[in-house]
Amino acid sequence: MKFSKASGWPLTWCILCAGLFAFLGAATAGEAKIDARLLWAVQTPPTNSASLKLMSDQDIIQKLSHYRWTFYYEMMRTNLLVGDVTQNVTLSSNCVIGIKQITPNHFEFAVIGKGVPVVRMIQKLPKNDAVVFSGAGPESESAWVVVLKRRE
Amino acid sequence: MTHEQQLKLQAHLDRQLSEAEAREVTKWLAADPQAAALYAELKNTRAALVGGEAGIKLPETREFYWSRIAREIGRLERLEPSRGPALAEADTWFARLRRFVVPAGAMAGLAIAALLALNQPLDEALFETSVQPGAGTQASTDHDYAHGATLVWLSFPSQTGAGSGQSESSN
Repeated sequence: MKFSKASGWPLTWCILCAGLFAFLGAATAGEAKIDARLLWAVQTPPTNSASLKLMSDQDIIQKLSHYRWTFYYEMMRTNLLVGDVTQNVTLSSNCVIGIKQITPNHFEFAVIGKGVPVVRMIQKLPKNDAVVFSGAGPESESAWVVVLKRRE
Repeated sequence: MTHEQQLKLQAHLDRQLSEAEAREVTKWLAADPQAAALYAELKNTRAALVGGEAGIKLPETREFYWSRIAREIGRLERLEPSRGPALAEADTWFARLRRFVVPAGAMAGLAIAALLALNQPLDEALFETSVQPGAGTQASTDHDYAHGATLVWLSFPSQTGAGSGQSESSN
């Protein structure tokens, strides 16, 4: 086929469109920053509270305001860079969290307790929102709380 | 023969030399056959050129002749758009603009459609929350839209006090 001026235009636009799709594909494949914390929630301070780090993040305290616990101690905290590949983070010997980004605003979370899958969840998580997994603690009137807050 | 000598022969032919120089060149031509041969060739060439440039006599004045050419060029330029519909359209600024705007508009539409398809519909098509508890696990979910939190309380039937961490006034 002879490359004339007339036949060159569709080819040019096809290349431009291909570039646009490539750009859009790259733009939607960004990574998200997630702040992961493991908290121990109690009604009254334990005897060894002096050695524990009381959580002071007011935003997270507000997010946990539906719970009836008064004190939240930060047992573990880590920052994650989450992409479209599942990332596992060990928060304690009994708790592993798997996180994967499936759309720019949706994430898949998996909670694994003592090596056993406990729950799998797909959740919309815009910036500054949080997903909180919790359950009754080994001692009465206590709970474990995992807070996954999206920072960026 | 040097270049200067050649130029001197040409100058002699063009009668640009002084009388004294012309006499010297004449003597030189008589004595030097090579110079005489070149001089003859230059002379023939000039004769050929003079014969080839036939003079053209204009029937009118020079100014009138050129003004007539200018008028003809102007007339042809004015006639240019009416040569043919396709050719005329191709040359207008609107056609040129349209040739750019139409594909650009199509591409913009394509980009918007791609953005919508890649982001929002996919986001909205998915459940806001989809929870799949593992075997032997119960999950109750609450949304606190005011504070941007989704709370999942996990309980196990074998455990006592399941769900005891949640307040009664959850959203």
